[in-house]
Amino acid sequence: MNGITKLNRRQFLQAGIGSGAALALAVSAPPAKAALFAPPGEPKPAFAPNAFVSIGRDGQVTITVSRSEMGQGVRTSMAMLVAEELEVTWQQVRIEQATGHPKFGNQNTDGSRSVRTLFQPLRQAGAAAREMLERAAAKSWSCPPEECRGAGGEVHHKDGKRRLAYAKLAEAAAALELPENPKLKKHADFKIIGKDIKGVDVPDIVHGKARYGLDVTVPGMVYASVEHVPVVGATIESFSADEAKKVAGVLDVIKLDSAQPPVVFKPLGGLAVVAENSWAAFKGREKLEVKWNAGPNGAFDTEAFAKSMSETAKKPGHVVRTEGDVDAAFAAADQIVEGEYYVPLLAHASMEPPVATAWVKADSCEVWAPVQAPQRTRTMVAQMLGLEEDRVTVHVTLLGGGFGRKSKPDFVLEAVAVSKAVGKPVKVTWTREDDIRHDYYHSDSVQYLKAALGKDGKPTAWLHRTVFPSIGSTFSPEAKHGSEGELGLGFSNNPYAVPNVKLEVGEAAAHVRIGWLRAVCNIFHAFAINRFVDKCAATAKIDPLAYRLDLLGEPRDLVFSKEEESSPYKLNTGRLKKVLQVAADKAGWGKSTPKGQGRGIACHYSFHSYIAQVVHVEMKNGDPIVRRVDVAVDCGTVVNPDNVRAQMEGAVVFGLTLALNGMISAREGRVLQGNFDTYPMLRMPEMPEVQVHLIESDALPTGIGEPGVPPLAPALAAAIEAASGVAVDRLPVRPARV
Amino acid sequence: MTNKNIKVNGKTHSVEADPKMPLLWVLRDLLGLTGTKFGCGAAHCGACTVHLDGVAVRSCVLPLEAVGDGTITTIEGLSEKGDHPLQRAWIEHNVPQCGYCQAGQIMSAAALLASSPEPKDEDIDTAMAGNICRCGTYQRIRAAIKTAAKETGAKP
Repeated sequence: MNGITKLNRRQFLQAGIGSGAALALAVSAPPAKAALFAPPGEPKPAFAPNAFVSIGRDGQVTITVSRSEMGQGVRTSMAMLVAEELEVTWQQVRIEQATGHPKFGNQNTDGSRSVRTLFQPLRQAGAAAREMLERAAAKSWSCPPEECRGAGGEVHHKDGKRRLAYAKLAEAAAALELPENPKLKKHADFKIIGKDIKGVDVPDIVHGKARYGLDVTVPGMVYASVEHVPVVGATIESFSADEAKKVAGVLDVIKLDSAQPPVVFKPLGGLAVVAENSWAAFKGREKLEVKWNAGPNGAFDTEAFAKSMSETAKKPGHVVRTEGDVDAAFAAADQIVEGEYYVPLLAHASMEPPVATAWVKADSCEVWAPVQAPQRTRTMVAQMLGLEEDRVTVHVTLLGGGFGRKSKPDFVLEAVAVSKAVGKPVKVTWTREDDIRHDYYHSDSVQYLKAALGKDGKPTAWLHRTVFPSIGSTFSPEAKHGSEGELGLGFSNNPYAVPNVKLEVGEAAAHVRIGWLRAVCNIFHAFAINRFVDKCAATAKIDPLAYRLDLLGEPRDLVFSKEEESSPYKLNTGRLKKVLQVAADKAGWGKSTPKGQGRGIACHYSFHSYIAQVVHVEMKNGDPIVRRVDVAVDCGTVVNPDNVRAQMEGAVVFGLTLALNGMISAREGRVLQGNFDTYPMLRMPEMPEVQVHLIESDALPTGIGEPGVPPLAPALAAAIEAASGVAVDRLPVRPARV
Repeated sequence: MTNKNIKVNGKTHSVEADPKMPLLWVLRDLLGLTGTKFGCGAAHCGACTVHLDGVAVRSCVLPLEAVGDGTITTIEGLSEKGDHPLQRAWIEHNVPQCGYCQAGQIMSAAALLASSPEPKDEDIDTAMAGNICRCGTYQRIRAAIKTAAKETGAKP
């Protein structure tokens, strides 16, 4: 998908080696400070052994964070990993944001994998720097390096008398060779990892000083807003910009080519109104007269599409996984259970809509944008302009929410196109309607399940068909059904022990841009599987918790593919059972509830983490009031516990929003929703009490941004069924508002 | 276009703008006060909340001409030293995730505490219902408001 260089460990440690400049002042322990970009005119640091750590002339310790911050806490957790092994206090650290550059290794901030994949390399980056400082001290004391130990931003000699600040050692350290194998601390010796550390940007945020994509200003900048093609692939038949240009403050109207399949991350196309300020650009748009040619997606209707997916799900599809003989088992069954489940298209709706500032100059380009994939953005901007990549700089601002939307740089390329046309720096701001109507949507999906139950009520056969337009459709018209990667998100890695299993995927064409959204296909797979397990349990008259614990079998590692055999991350049924048990215990599972109330339970393994949730619902006039949600989470070693709790709280809200209200619908190719009145979010009065229960573990750290989302919808649906007897098999719970 | 003086965070600014231009864009694009955010443009989300004479208003739908002689306070001017009890409580509870909506949340909460120093849960629900947080920090927002209320309530 993109040409990002994979760095090996040594390259990673050597990345971005700085020069050993002279050094002046001693460290004066400033408070931890979070900046986005280095202050202008700052001298080169004295010691910069790799791309992630530097120590300045004044002793300032700077940690550069390569992943994008969208609220998941990555600027804090990445810095914690480096600081831990560098042996500095948290207060000594200043944090900066990396631009998009291959020297940082993979910068794509997605897949809940920043901590998982960088837990080792970032600690090594810190440890390498510390070892060099220790060796520099040893040299100056003429002692063996083993007698020197970094701590609190100083190297201490074991005699307990001699010590030297890192600032004083930085220049000498810069002249030393990088250690081959920097030694990492034992988990028991961690001073920062495992502590509740507050978000590094929180002080700036509460004072209105934090800088998001929307907040970028560049001297001489103009503003633009784009009237996008109403349907993907639509073209402009004719237009008049005369009236728009009469609006005070409007400078120009620029026609942008419309993206044709495969749309990838090409700008959608339409008419860009360029103005002296954002408001004038919006007003100008209202005066545009455009006749569209709707194109091949102009007849798309989500309701008809859902019916066609349901038809597909009734017929055999492409076999993904098969064990035993399901047909024989169905023929011999005592009882057959069937279910069909539907989840509609969903939009990301990050609070900060897509926005980007671009400045195309004669032979270079600079962009400032809230992007999850700065290197991909840089590569695509360079391709678009026919520039070498080193002529393109991508500054990553804070993201006002991302959820996967800002992995797609279409909105940045759009700003680049407008800047190129007007020859000035330009900020292109999407309206909320632009965002909701022109998203890379989370796939809509129909899931069909069928099980044969034996005399003991346990399934003897399990057939599951999943149907959804693939994210692959965005990249290739050949992608007719879900990819192996998408199917691995809670479908092909179904952990339940059933002797006869058949998993199939059906074909579904895409008519809108499809993209990944927080937890991706896990959302509809977890919904369908949990709902169906509940249905089997109810048919068998067995408690749904007990039924799940039984179906998971003995604690063991499961392997679903050849690749996984050597992976350190295997689905362990014992860990999934443990979170189920903890969530149930904490929520008072099994205790009676008053009439009109009920609890539901669900579990799901995703991004290598184990989550179970119990939702407690009270029905009022047929509408569910969610009273409490208990979340048990096993994400291995916890780097920042308070951040894990926050991510779980947030995932509950994200899950409730999609389960209660989330629905994008289209008629004649056009999306009907446009703002928060028609695409509602959960609000304060509906916020339940959320209790998060962390499982202590010294296993490798695993994902935390996404895994909290999938179990919520099925647990809520189960609670509604327990409270009211109404089975919720189609989302959202509340009818659509358009 | 009109030339108008407006009072923001204790300073008077002269702006030349379309009288229909919402205050949000006056603040952001003309005065460079970017702490106040754009979320919906339709008073649905509260990201643009500021105070007009101490009352929480959605600046994305408030035309410049409607501001009159009113005094505007934005997140940048909520407290002189950045130590409003809500700002401190927000840090203590580590409320923000992405943080984008939080200026609006704090401004709504500040207006609530000014009129109702010891808010009950129902008061918090009502006052904060207009502010969306997509990251889902509501539980911490509620806790932080209660912490700040305790502190302000304890003052003579």
